[in-house]
Amino acid sequence: MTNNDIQTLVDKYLAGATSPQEELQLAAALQQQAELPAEWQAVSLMLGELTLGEAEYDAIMASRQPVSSKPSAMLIAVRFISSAAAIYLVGLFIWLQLQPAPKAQMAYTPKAEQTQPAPQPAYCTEGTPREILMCYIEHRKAQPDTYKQLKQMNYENQ
Amino acid sequence: MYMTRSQFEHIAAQLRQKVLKISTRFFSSRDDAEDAAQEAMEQLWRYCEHIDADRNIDALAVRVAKNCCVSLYRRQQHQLATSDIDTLALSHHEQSASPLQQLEAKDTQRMLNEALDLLNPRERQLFDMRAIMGLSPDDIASQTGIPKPSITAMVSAARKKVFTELIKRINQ
Repeated sequence: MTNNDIQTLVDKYLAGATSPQEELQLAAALQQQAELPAEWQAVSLMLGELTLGEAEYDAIMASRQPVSSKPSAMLIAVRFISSAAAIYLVGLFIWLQLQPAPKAQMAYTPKAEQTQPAPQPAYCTEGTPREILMCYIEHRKAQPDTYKQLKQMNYENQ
Repeated sequence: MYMTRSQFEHIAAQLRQKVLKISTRFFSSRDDAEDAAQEAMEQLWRYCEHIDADRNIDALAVRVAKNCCVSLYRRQQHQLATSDIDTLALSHHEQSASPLQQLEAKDTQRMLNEALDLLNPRERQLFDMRAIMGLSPDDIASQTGIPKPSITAMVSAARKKVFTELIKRINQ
């Protein structure tokens, strides 16, 4: 505490505006001064032995506190890494929870799930050209509706 | 109306717990803490007849306990001794102090007492409530019924009166 700060507190004390805590601060500051001017000496007397003793008690207790409460850089790094790992694990857990469960492979596919039509086997692909032609005509005769539809579509396109 | 010894005895057990808590926090040794608490209780016992009966003396007990801890600590560190709880002046005379220092301390005590005698009873009461009891203006207002701005003004007037007188005597 600078001399200006002490003088400010002295003025505040004489104005009756100091709190008990500020009076303790003032007492502690005055105790630390080697030489007191007459005004401060008077204020020190007025503060009283109780306030001075209480300020000394607080100063002794404060001096017993750990000097540095600031954590070391190593501790900060360990805390940061631990926090990052914890956040990563939590995120991974949530992400895994959101993923759909893989479907089990079954020996057969139920009929209800058969959405894709089975591919038609190729026909009339073997033999001589005549045999292929005859096969095709027979196949066309076997499916007259399909043939009519194809013929109509061909006609409409023309 | 001041507190009687029997009234003090009613609250002594509770006060001792509070005082012992302060001293235990200060001393690592249980015996030292007990000694400081005992000394604080003795001083409160001697001083209780100067305290208003309807006033809470917990704050005073805490202050006295802290002072007793510091006194015992000083004695342990520097073989110093303390005397009575005359709280407003240098009552903690050092046994190891030279005769000149003891004379100066007594002179200072007398000077302060003479300056305090200039206060009227109301001013003295408020001055003591701030200096000895360590009460805040809010506490004093609740205990005395005087508005807080008036308390501040009266405490200021009392302090300035004592201050002026002390300066005059110190400069003589």
